[in-house]
Amino acid sequence: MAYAPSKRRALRGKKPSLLVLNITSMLDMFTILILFLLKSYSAEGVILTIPADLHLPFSSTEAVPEPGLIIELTQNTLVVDGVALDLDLQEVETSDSIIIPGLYEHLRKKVQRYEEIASVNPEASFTGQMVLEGDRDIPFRLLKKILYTCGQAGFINQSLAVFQEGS
Amino acid sequence: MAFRPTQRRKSKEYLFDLNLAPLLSLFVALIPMLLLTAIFQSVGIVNLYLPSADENPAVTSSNNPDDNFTLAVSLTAAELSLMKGDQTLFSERNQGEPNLARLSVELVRLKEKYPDKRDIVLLLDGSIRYQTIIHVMDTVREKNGRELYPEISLADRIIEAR
Repeated sequence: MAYAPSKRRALRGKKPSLLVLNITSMLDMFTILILFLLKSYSAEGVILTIPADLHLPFSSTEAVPEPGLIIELTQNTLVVDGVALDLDLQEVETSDSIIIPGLYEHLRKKVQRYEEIASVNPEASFTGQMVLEGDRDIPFRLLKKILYTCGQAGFINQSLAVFQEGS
Repeated sequence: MAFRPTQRRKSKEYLFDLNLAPLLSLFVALIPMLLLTAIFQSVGIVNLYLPSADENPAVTSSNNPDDNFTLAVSLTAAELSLMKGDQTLFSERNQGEPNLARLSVELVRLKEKYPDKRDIVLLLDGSIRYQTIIHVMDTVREKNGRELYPEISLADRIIEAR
Protein backbone atom coordinates (compact mmCIF):
# COMPACT_ATOMS: atom_id res chain seq x y z
CA MET A 1 0.00 0.00 0.00
CA ALA A 2 1.24 3.43 -0.78
CA TYR A 3 1.73 6.06 1.86
CA ALA A 4 -0.43 9.15 1.85
CA PRO A 5 1.08 11.53 -0.69
CA SER A 6 3.07 14.49 0.57
CA LYS A 7 1.13 17.73 0.72
CA ARG A 8 4.17 19.86 0.05
CA ARG A 9 3.68 19.92 -3.63
CA ALA A 10 0.00 20.57 -3.32
CA LEU A 11 0.52 23.49 -0.97
CA ARG A 12 3.27 25.11 -3.01
CA GLY A 13 2.36 28.61 -4.07
CA LYS A 14 -0.59 28.85 -1.74
CA LYS A 15 -0.02 31.57 0.85
CA PRO A 16 -1.14 30.87 4.41
CA SER A 17 -4.32 32.78 4.87
CA LEU A 18 -3.86 33.79 8.54
CA LEU A 19 -0.60 34.21 10.39
CA VAL A 20 -1.14 33.69 14.11
CA LEU A 21 1.56 34.81 16.51
CA ASN A 22 1.84 32.51 19.49
CA ILE A 23 1.59 34.80 22.49
CA THR A 24 0.72 32.19 25.12
CA SER A 25 4.15 32.15 26.71
CA MET A 26 4.29 35.93 26.88
CA LEU A 27 0.93 35.92 28.62
CA ASP A 28 2.26 33.42 31.14
CA MET A 29 5.04 35.83 31.94
CA PHE A 30 2.66 38.77 32.18
CA THR A 31 0.37 36.86 34.52
CA ILE A 32 3.24 36.22 36.89
CA LEU A 33 4.28 39.88 36.70
CA ILE A 34 0.73 41.08 37.35
CA LEU A 35 0.40 38.85 40.40
CA PHE A 36 3.70 40.09 41.78
CA LEU A 37 2.80 43.73 41.21
CA LEU A 38 -0.67 43.32 42.68
CA LYS A 39 0.95 41.90 45.79
CA SER A 40 3.08 44.99 46.24
CA TYR A 41 0.24 47.33 45.32
CA SER A 42 -0.67 49.87 47.93
CA ALA A 43 -4.01 51.63 47.81
CA GLU A 44 -3.14 54.05 50.61
CA GLY A 45 -0.62 55.97 48.60
CA VAL A 46 2.70 57.19 49.83
CA ILE A 47 2.82 59.55 52.79
CA LEU A 48 6.56 59.47 53.21
CA THR A 49 8.95 59.86 50.35
CA ILE A 50 12.46 58.84 51.23
CA PRO A 51 15.34 60.63 49.47
CA ALA A 52 17.84 58.34 47.78
CA ASP A 53 20.72 59.34 50.04
CA LEU A 54 18.79 58.69 53.24
CA HIS A 55 19.28 55.17 54.59
CA LEU A 56 16.57 54.44 57.13
CA PRO A 57 17.12 51.73 59.72
CA PHE A 58 15.35 48.38 59.40
CA SER A 59 12.71 47.32 61.88
CA SER A 60 10.15 44.56 62.42
CA THR A 61 7.36 47.07 63.10
CA GLU A 62 4.02 46.87 61.33
CA ALA A 63 2.72 50.35 62.17
CA VAL A 64 2.05 52.56 59.16
CA PRO A 65 3.01 56.24 58.88
CA GLU A 66 0.53 58.99 59.65
CA PRO A 67 0.61 62.46 58.13
CA GLY A 68 2.47 65.06 60.10
CA LEU A 69 5.58 67.18 60.16
CA ILE A 70 8.41 65.39 58.37
CA ILE A 71 12.00 65.84 59.48
CA GLU A 72 14.70 64.33 57.32
CA LEU A 73 18.01 63.84 59.05
CA THR A 74 20.96 62.60 57.04
CA GLN A 75 24.61 62.55 58.05
CA ASN A 76 25.08 66.25 57.33
CA THR A 77 21.74 67.87 56.50
CA LEU A 78 18.54 68.57 58.38
CA VAL A 79 15.40 69.13 56.31
CA VAL A 80 12.10 70.17 57.89
CA ASP A 81 9.03 69.71 55.65
CA GLY A 82 11.16 70.14 52.53
CA VAL A 83 13.08 73.19 53.79
CA ALA A 84 16.77 72.60 54.45
CA LEU A 85 17.98 74.28 57.62
CA ASP A 86 21.32 76.01 57.67
CA LEU A 87 22.80 74.05 60.55
CA ASP A 88 26.18 72.48 61.04
CA LEU A 89 25.26 69.07 62.43
CA GLN A 90 28.81 68.34 63.52
CA GLU A 91 28.68 71.41 65.70
CA VAL A 92 25.22 70.52 67.01
CA GLU A 93 26.41 67.05 67.90
CA THR A 94 29.39 68.20 69.91
CA SER A 95 27.75 71.18 71.62
CA ASP A 96 26.75 70.92 75.29
CA SER A 97 23.31 72.41 74.74
CA ILE A 98 20.59 69.79 74.39
CA ILE A 99 18.26 72.15 72.49
CA ILE A 100 19.03 73.30 68.94
CA PRO A 101 18.12 77.02 68.70
CA GLY A 102 17.90 77.19 64.88
CA LEU A 103 15.58 74.20 64.71
CA TYR A 104 13.54 75.34 67.72
CA GLU A 105 12.73 78.75 66.22
CA HIS A 106 11.81 77.20 62.88
CA LEU A 107 9.48 74.72 64.58
CA ARG A 108 7.89 77.35 66.82
CA LYS A 109 6.91 79.32 63.71
CA LYS A 110 5.36 76.18 62.28
CA VAL A 111 3.45 75.46 65.47
CA GLN A 112 2.13 79.04 65.53
CA ARG A 113 0.94 78.67 61.95
CA TYR A 114 -0.77 75.34 62.78
CA GLU A 115 -2.43 76.90 65.82
CA GLU A 116 -3.67 79.87 63.78
CA ILE A 117 -5.24 77.45 61.32
CA ALA A 118 -6.71 75.42 64.18
CA SER A 119 -8.29 78.55 65.72
CA VAL A 120 -10.15 79.22 62.46
CA ASN A 121 -10.91 75.67 61.49
CA PRO A 122 -11.63 73.41 64.46
CA GLU A 123 -11.39 70.30 62.26
CA ALA A 124 -7.72 70.95 61.55
CA SER A 125 -6.59 70.76 65.14
CA PHE A 126 -2.90 70.62 65.88
CA THR A 127 -1.93 67.19 67.16
CA GLY A 128 1.82 67.60 67.33
CA GLN A 129 2.30 64.64 65.00
CA MET A 130 5.78 64.33 63.51
CA VAL A 131 7.84 61.70 61.74
CA LEU A 132 11.61 61.61 61.92
CA GLU A 133 13.36 60.05 58.94
CA GLY A 134 16.83 59.50 60.26
CA ASP A 135 19.91 57.92 58.76
CA ARG A 136 20.69 54.56 60.37
CA ASP A 137 24.23 55.61 61.30
CA ILE A 138 23.51 58.77 63.28
CA PRO A 139 24.50 58.55 66.94
CA PHE A 140 22.04 58.87 69.81
CA ARG A 141 23.55 62.13 71.08
CA LEU A 142 22.39 63.86 67.87
CA LEU A 143 19.05 62.04 67.70
CA LYS A 144 18.29 62.98 71.29
CA LYS A 145 18.85 66.69 70.63
CA ILE A 146 16.58 66.67 67.56
CA LEU A 147 13.80 64.79 69.37
CA TYR A 148 14.11 66.94 72.47
CA THR A 149 13.96 70.16 70.44
CA CYS A 150 10.89 68.92 68.57
CA GLY A 151 9.24 67.95 71.85
CA GLN A 152 9.96 71.36 73.36
CA ALA A 153 8.57 73.11 70.28
CA GLY A 154 5.26 71.25 70.63
CA PHE A 155 5.65 68.16 68.46
CA ILE A 156 4.92 65.56 71.08
CA ASN A 157 3.54 62.70 69.01
CA GLN A 158 6.87 61.54 67.71
CA SER A 159 7.46 58.57 65.52
CA LEU A 160 10.52 57.25 63.76
CA ALA A 161 10.37 56.21 60.12
CA VAL A 162 11.92 52.81 59.36
CA PHE A 163 12.09 50.33 56.50
CA GLN A 164 9.96 47.29 57.19
CA GLU A 165 11.90 44.07 57.19
CA GLY A 166 10.85 41.14 55.05
CA SER A 167 8.11 42.91 53.13
CA MET B 1 -8.20 -5.69 -4.47
CA ALA B 2 -6.46 -3.79 -1.71
CA PHE B 3 -8.35 -2.41 1.19
CA ARG B 4 -9.37 1.19 1.09
CA PRO B 5 -6.84 3.33 2.97
CA THR B 6 -7.99 4.46 6.36
CA GLN B 7 -9.79 7.76 6.56
CA ARG B 8 -8.69 8.48 10.07
CA ARG B 9 -5.81 10.79 9.20
CA LYS B 10 -7.80 12.64 6.63
CA SER B 11 -10.61 13.61 8.95
CA LYS B 12 -10.37 17.34 9.41
CA GLU B 13 -8.36 18.50 12.38
CA TYR B 14 -9.47 21.76 13.82
CA LEU B 15 -6.57 23.68 15.27
CA PHE B 16 -8.18 25.41 18.17
CA ASP B 17 -6.51 28.70 18.99
CA LEU B 18 -7.76 30.88 21.81
CA ASN B 19 -7.63 34.53 20.91
CA LEU B 20 -5.50 36.02 23.66
CA ALA B 21 -4.97 39.42 22.06
CA PRO B 22 -7.55 41.31 24.21
CA LEU B 23 -6.07 39.82 27.35
CA LEU B 24 -2.64 40.90 26.18
CA SER B 25 -3.74 44.47 25.65
CA LEU B 26 -5.30 44.51 29.11
CA PHE B 27 -2.04 43.32 30.62
CA VAL B 28 -0.03 45.86 28.69
CA ALA B 29 -2.18 48.59 30.21
CA LEU B 30 -2.17 47.11 33.72
CA ILE B 31 1.54 46.45 34.07
CA PRO B 32 2.76 50.05 33.72
CA MET B 33 0.01 51.23 36.05
CA LEU B 34 0.95 48.72 38.76
CA LEU B 35 4.64 49.37 38.24
CA LEU B 36 4.05 53.04 38.92
CA THR B 37 2.09 52.43 42.12
CA ALA B 38 4.18 49.52 43.39
CA ILE B 39 6.07 50.03 46.63
CA PHE B 40 9.09 47.81 46.78
CA GLN B 41 10.45 49.04 50.08
CA SER B 42 7.61 49.75 52.42
CA VAL B 43 8.10 52.34 55.12
CA GLY B 44 6.74 51.84 58.59
CA ILE B 45 7.03 53.79 61.81
CA VAL B 46 8.07 53.14 65.37
CA ASN B 47 6.16 55.21 67.89
CA LEU B 48 7.84 56.98 70.77
CA TYR B 49 6.14 57.83 74.01
CA LEU B 50 7.05 61.05 75.68
CA PRO B 51 6.00 61.45 79.27
CA SER B 52 4.11 64.74 79.39
CA ALA B 53 5.35 67.42 81.75
CA ASP B 54 2.27 67.57 83.95
CA GLU B 55 2.25 63.84 84.50
CA ASN B 56 4.03 62.21 87.37
CA PRO B 57 6.65 60.05 85.70
CA ALA B 58 6.44 57.43 88.43
CA VAL B 59 2.78 56.73 87.60
CA THR B 60 2.56 54.20 84.82
CA SER B 61 -0.26 53.57 82.37
CA SER B 62 -1.17 50.43 84.26
CA ASN B 63 -3.65 50.61 87.15
CA ASN B 64 -2.14 47.61 88.86
CA PRO B 65 -0.23 48.80 91.98
CA ASP B 66 2.32 46.02 91.47
CA ASP B 67 3.43 47.71 88.25
CA ASN B 68 4.52 50.90 89.95
CA PHE B 69 8.19 50.60 89.16
CA THR B 70 10.49 51.82 86.43
CA LEU B 71 11.69 49.26 83.98
CA ALA B 72 14.80 50.31 82.13
CA VAL B 73 17.14 48.88 79.56
CA SER B 74 20.55 50.46 79.65
CA LEU B 75 22.83 50.21 76.67
CA THR B 76 26.34 51.50 76.33
CA ALA B 77 28.97 50.61 73.78
CA ALA B 78 30.32 48.05 76.24
CA GLU B 79 27.35 46.74 78.17
CA LEU B 80 23.66 45.86 77.99
CA SER B 81 21.65 45.63 81.18
CA LEU B 82 18.05 45.39 82.32
CA MET B 83 16.96 47.15 85.46
CA LYS B 84 13.78 47.06 87.54
CA GLY B 85 13.85 50.05 89.79
CA ASP B 86 17.25 50.00 91.49
CA GLN B 87 17.71 46.31 91.00
CA THR B 88 19.76 45.05 88.06
CA LEU B 89 18.12 41.94 86.62
CA PHE B 90 20.87 41.10 84.22
CA SER B 91 23.93 42.72 82.80
CA GLU B 92 26.14 41.48 80.05
CA ARG B 93 29.17 42.76 78.19
CA ASN B 94 28.63 43.20 74.46
CA GLN B 95 30.52 40.96 72.13
CA GLY B 96 30.40 43.32 69.19
CA GLU B 97 26.61 43.57 69.06
CA PRO B 98 24.52 43.61 72.25
CA ASN B 99 22.98 40.25 73.19
CA LEU B 100 19.37 41.07 72.35
CA ALA B 101 18.26 37.43 72.42
CA ARG B 102 19.10 37.27 76.12
CA LEU B 103 17.29 40.57 76.74
CA SER B 104 14.22 39.20 74.99
CA VAL B 105 14.16 36.09 77.18
CA GLU B 106 14.45 38.19 80.34
CA LEU B 107 11.68 40.56 79.20
CA VAL B 108 9.31 37.68 78.44
CA ARG B 109 9.96 36.29 81.92
CA LEU B 110 9.25 39.70 83.45
CA LYS B 111 6.11 40.12 81.34
CA GLU B 112 4.73 36.87 82.76
CA LYS B 113 5.25 38.22 86.27
CA TYR B 114 3.77 41.66 85.54
CA PRO B 115 1.38 41.20 82.59
CA ASP B 116 -0.12 44.73 82.78
CA LYS B 117 3.15 46.64 82.66
CA ARG B 118 3.47 48.34 79.28
CA ASP B 119 6.07 51.07 79.61
CA ILE B 120 9.83 50.88 79.52
CA VAL B 121 12.69 53.35 79.35
CA LEU B 122 15.75 52.92 77.19
CA LEU B 123 18.81 54.51 78.71
CA LEU B 124 21.25 55.02 75.91
CA ASP B 125 24.80 56.14 75.59
CA GLY B 126 25.46 59.02 73.18
CA SER B 127 27.53 56.92 70.82
CA ILE B 128 24.86 54.28 70.12
CA ARG B 129 23.85 54.09 66.46
CA TYR B 130 20.27 54.76 65.43
CA GLN B 131 19.98 51.31 63.82
CA THR B 132 20.99 49.66 67.11
CA ILE B 133 18.40 51.74 68.98
CA ILE B 134 15.70 50.53 66.58
CA HIS B 135 16.82 46.92 67.08
CA VAL B 136 16.60 47.30 70.84
CA MET B 137 13.17 48.92 70.49
CA ASP B 138 12.00 46.00 68.33
CA THR B 139 13.24 43.55 70.93
CA VAL B 140 11.52 45.42 73.75
CA ARG B 141 8.25 45.96 71.90
CA GLU B 142 7.42 42.42 70.89
CA LYS B 143 8.52 38.84 70.74
CA ASN B 144 7.17 36.67 67.91
CA GLY B 145 4.09 38.84 67.56
CA ARG B 146 3.43 38.89 71.30
CA GLU B 147 3.33 42.39 72.72
CA LEU B 148 5.83 43.06 75.51
CA TYR B 149 6.43 46.74 76.31
CA PRO B 150 5.09 48.96 73.51
CA GLU B 151 5.32 52.28 75.36
CA ILE B 152 8.98 53.00 74.87
CA SER B 153 10.64 56.21 75.88
CA LEU B 154 14.22 57.15 75.21
CA ALA B 155 16.43 58.72 77.80
CA ASP B 156 19.98 59.77 78.11
CA ARG B 157 22.07 57.53 80.28
CA ILE B 158 23.18 59.32 83.41
CA ILE B 159 26.89 58.97 83.75
CA GLU B 160 27.49 57.46 87.14
CA ALA B 161 30.41 58.61 89.19
CA ARG B 162 32.48 55.59 90.08
